[in-house]
Amino acid sequence: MYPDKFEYFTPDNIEGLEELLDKYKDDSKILAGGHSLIPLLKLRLTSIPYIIDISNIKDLSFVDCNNALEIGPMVRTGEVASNKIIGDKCKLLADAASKIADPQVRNMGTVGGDVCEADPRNDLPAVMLALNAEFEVTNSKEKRTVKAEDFFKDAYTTALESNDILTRIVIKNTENYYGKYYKYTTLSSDFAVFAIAINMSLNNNKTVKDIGIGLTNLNSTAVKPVEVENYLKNKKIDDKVAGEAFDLLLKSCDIEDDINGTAKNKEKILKNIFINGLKEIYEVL
Amino acid sequence: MYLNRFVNGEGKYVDDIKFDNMLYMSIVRSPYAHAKIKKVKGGLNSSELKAYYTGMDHAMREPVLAIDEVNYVGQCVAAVFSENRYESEDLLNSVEVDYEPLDAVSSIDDALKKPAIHDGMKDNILDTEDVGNKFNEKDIDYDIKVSDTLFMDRISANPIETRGIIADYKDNVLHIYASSQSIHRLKGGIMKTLNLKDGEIVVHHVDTGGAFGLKALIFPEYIIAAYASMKYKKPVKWIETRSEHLQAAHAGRGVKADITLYAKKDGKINGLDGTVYLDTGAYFTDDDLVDLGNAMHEVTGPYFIENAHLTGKYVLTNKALNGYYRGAGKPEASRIMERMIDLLADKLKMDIADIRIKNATEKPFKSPLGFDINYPTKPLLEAALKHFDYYNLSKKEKLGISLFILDEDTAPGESCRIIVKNGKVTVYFGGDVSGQGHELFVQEMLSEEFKIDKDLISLDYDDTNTLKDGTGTWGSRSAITHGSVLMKTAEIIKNDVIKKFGKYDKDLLLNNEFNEYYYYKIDYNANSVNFNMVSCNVNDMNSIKIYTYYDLGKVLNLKNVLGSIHGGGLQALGEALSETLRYDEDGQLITNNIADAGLLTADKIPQYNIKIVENNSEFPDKAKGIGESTMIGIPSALARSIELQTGKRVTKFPIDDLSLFNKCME
Repeated sequence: MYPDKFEYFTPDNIEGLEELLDKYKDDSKILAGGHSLIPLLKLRLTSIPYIIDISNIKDLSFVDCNNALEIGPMVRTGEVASNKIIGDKCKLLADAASKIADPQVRNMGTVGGDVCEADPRNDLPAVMLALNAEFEVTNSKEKRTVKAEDFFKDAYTTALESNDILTRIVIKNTENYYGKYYKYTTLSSDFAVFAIAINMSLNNNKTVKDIGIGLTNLNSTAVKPVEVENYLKNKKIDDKVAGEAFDLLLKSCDIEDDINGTAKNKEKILKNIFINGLKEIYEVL
Repeated sequence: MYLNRFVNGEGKYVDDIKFDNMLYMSIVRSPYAHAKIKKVKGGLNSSELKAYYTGMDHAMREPVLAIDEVNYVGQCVAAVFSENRYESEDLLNSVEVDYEPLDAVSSIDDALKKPAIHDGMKDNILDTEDVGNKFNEKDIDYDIKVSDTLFMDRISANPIETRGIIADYKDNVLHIYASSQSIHRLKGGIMKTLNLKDGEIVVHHVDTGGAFGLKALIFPEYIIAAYASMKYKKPVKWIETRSEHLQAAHAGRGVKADITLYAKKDGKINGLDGTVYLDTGAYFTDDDLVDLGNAMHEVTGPYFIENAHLTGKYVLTNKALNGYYRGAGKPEASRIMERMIDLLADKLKMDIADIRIKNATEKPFKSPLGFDINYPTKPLLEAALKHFDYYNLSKKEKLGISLFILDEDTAPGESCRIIVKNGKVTVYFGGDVSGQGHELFVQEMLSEEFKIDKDLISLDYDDTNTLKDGTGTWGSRSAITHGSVLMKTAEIIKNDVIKKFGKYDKDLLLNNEFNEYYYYKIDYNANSVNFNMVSCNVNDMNSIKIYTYYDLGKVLNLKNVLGSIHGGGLQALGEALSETLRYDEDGQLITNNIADAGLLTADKIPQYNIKIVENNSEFPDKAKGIGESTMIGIPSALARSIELQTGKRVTKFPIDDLSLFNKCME
């Protein structure tokens, strides 16, 4: 790896991190697991004069569950996939994390890095949208909460300012939910051609009580098709309902011909996966 | 054991070698597929080093550093040097180049339609060649004619170790350390380009981490490094990045064919004609002749077809140059034939095995395209079908089959030195080892021949001084050429012992010193007959099952054989399904990083049903070849198994259909 020159910092507390971010502003960037940032540096697609590695900040690595599931941004993807609390409380998140890349990458990559890098091919942004997650954002002046649906702005662009730190991920929709991450890849790559995150709960009469959906790599950034979620609420899921939901879903997608195939072919596969996925989760519940 | 050093990280590849005061070289490469260079300022550029590196002095050969124009993305424009690799990468920005972009040609079809990319040419056809005897369809006996167009896209060698070199000029001798399949060929190439005399250059063989044909070639970067070392009087190292590899390393396949078969109703093929196109990339290279030569001469393969004629066209495009890739024209030839014979079977509603039996032979023969087939092909085909119970299995499974000739590239032979000293036996081959595990068969054969322990035998590396002559490791030759010269040299050593002591025993050998060199000459390319069968369920990648029925002559070492089949099988699946270099209309490489390059990993290794038959060859070690068999036999058979299920005939490789082999992760 032969990146441009950079200065490298490893603060061991949040205050130290805040100071560095205030000092270097746009010239700095946080390095979490590095599995999105390092390839960009390596290929010299980006050049960052000040890199701040936050792996020494212990306060950013935790998993708690009181009223809601709370996860620190530095929890490694592999830990997200295998953590018992997350597995119990949030099947969707554990499932998605287990489908990211390979063990080596999961051992380094972090939940916060995946979310904040906002690469359209990253998996966890769509999962956070489906879970209606909330992000605690901290800087030297304030702490604030940003909803997942307000967080992802565009490819590689989030609601974070240059001095902001993601300090906590809060997931409230855990009781009686079941969810799964449907990830379609090519034969040779672990990146999603596209993926659909679905999180669902049912009323006593077997109608949908709540549903969250997130889409990976079907637009310039992860997308939450709110119209589809609203349409499905209070309905029983069958082929007809699922098919109509898919027609609405397409409105949130921008599918183009690319290296992976024609838009038409991809749409066909996507439809199959979405309808089968909805039905599978509905059956489990 | 000896091979463990690679697994333990103790291999010593070019990049592991360090010298004092060494300079690192980085290359300024063209960002355009086609452009005029209006100005270059800085770095080592063609205003100083104007040279050409091909063996043949063809008018359209590539300059080592671009002169006035660039013709593909990644072409070398200038070189910069620093004692620190990071700094040499930074220095790339210090070279100013003004380009005036021009229209690019990025495919064979494009090239046939668009104006010539090179000044002074009327079109983009570099050369045309005819093989076989032209015939008039009125003059041959046929009932049915089938035609189709087949296309095999470009593919990069992508060895784990990319290209690399150290040039170290000291005491008026240029020392070269390179990742190579043939140090002797490399020596010749550098001598010619830089006008060196024998004695002014020594090329050293070092650990080579995969080659796949690519590293039999010489490259502009190697010449630049050699020149720079002579200029600066310092060692100069160049190690290719993966991005450079995908962009600029000479790529394989890139073959299109328009073919017609003329056949009788009973399936007997009496004629074949058509045109085969090779995407040569932006300039001529010597390897174009081998690739398209093999792709044409070997088309009729194991079948006797009385009338055959092909026109070959070397087509220029604004892409990196053409090079060898495991098989070098042989898989192309076989795939053309096997895909066409399947089409003919479908038109005649014949079984794909029956039509092959109809056209296979009872005797060795010479094809009208000039390919000498050493063995009858029908007996092996029938034995393979019987062994795998094809006719019953084909009722249950969707089977594709492939019968092919493996051209083993045995000429002109190989050299070997055996040194016995201090109770140990050391072997050197003139043809370099590039990661296939030659040491395994060396130990197995010599321990038997000398009646000594395997641990006392090792394979070491030569240089062009210690071994004056040698050929290389490529094609499917090593088992025959290296194995045979090893046996011949071992015989000479044994005779030395007998001459000295009147008898041979292992203590007389090990307690004394012996040193013998031998070049075993072979003046023709031998070949063998082989068979593959593939079944799969198009909804499940793990369902792919590869049946191999290979005639290997005497198996020298079973581990070598299985390694070649297991790894080569996966490599063949990659080529068939996903691995490629894809360019946009402007000649920009789209698959420009390893994640997009389509290589399959070990989790996709298919199931194997391997049958090895051992009909001895005519060579001293009785072996036959294996190296390229998987690449020749597997893709076309897999294509057949797939098309039987989708109903869509496969004419393009990689097949690359997103909907095949349901890839929704579980």
